[in-house]
Amino acid sequence: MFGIRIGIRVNAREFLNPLIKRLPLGWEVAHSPKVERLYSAIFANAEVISEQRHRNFLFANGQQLGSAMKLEDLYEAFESDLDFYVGRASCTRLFVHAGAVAWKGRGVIIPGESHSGKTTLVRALLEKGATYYSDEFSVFDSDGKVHPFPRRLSVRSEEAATRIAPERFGAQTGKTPVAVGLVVLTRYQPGAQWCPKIMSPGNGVLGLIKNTLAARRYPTLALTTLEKAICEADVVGGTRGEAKEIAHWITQYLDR
Amino acid sequence: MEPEARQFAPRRRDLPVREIADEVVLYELKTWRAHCLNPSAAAVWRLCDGHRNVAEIARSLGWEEDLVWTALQELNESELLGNEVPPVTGTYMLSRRELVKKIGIGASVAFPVVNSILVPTPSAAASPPKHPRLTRPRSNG
Repeated sequence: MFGIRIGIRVNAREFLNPLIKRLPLGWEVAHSPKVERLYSAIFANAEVISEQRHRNFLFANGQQLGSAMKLEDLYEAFESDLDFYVGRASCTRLFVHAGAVAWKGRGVIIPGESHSGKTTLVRALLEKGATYYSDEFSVFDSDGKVHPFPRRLSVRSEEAATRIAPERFGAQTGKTPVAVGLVVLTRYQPGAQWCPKIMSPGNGVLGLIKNTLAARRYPTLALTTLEKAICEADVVGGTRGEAKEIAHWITQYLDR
Repeated sequence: MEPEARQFAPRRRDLPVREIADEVVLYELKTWRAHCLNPSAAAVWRLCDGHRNVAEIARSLGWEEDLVWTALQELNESELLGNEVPPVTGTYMLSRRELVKKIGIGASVAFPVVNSILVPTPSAAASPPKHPRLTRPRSNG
């Protein structure tokens, strides 16, 4: 997937399918046994009583990533590690840390660091009828189009993050790549009023590079891809308050 | 050499460069910085070929020399030029407002601006996976 080969091995066959279900869209079986990253999951033997034997372990390329009592925690860890690895290693797709939705056939990209409010804004757009592409990574091809990379949305509360499927918001998930119509460079600030400024395409590229995982590893790929991504897009920036306000603004802006 | 006679050239000529509309985006691989030159800064950058002095650049663009000096100073502050831009009396100490007033920059010419960022590592671009419910192996030592 995305030019990367990974392997998964487990100590009991019944645990393979749950891990396979966590693979990103578009994965295919590779016929070569050589992989760039090999995940090994050792699942607890339910018949053995001691606590240590009830832990489930996850390894990547022989290094232990961690252990957990609950299977779901291990599956989550696998998915997170896989996404981060693919995002920084792929040379066929460019991964930008950004939310992505489509509104009437045009992509809306929301770059930002963690806790900047990407998922909240993606959710607000889904509730208005946008099509879901991702709340974590915008995945660009060599033509600058963004591909679906759907994961369950990670919705944070005070206690913890919860994973919620986009269908819970009545949203459909995108199936095909879409050209970018709008890049929104923003950060949530309580009480802020959304007063967007139109930004130049060049500064839009900088805003995207700032959130591109492989920007140092593949600089030419990054520049070329983002140049194409931005060529038909508008770029707006500013501090925002509540997500519903800016979601409304975004849809009105694209409908004008 | 008198400042007015100096010629300016890029610090490096082999940078990945993209012309995006009227702007220029540059990527410095050694320092991991990316820069966006707005149209005015980009216009001067393109003429910094090591053969033209300020007067010649100004003549090519149809600008006042003060504006060219301002652009050179912007490029210099971003360390994009191969030689230092000397402080030019009369322009160097002017504020942006004073410069606009002096040379009357209108809608046709924007104040030269270079925006720069540090290109992130993967961990800086996207938080690496954190699994609070996953117990990490103890490190040795």
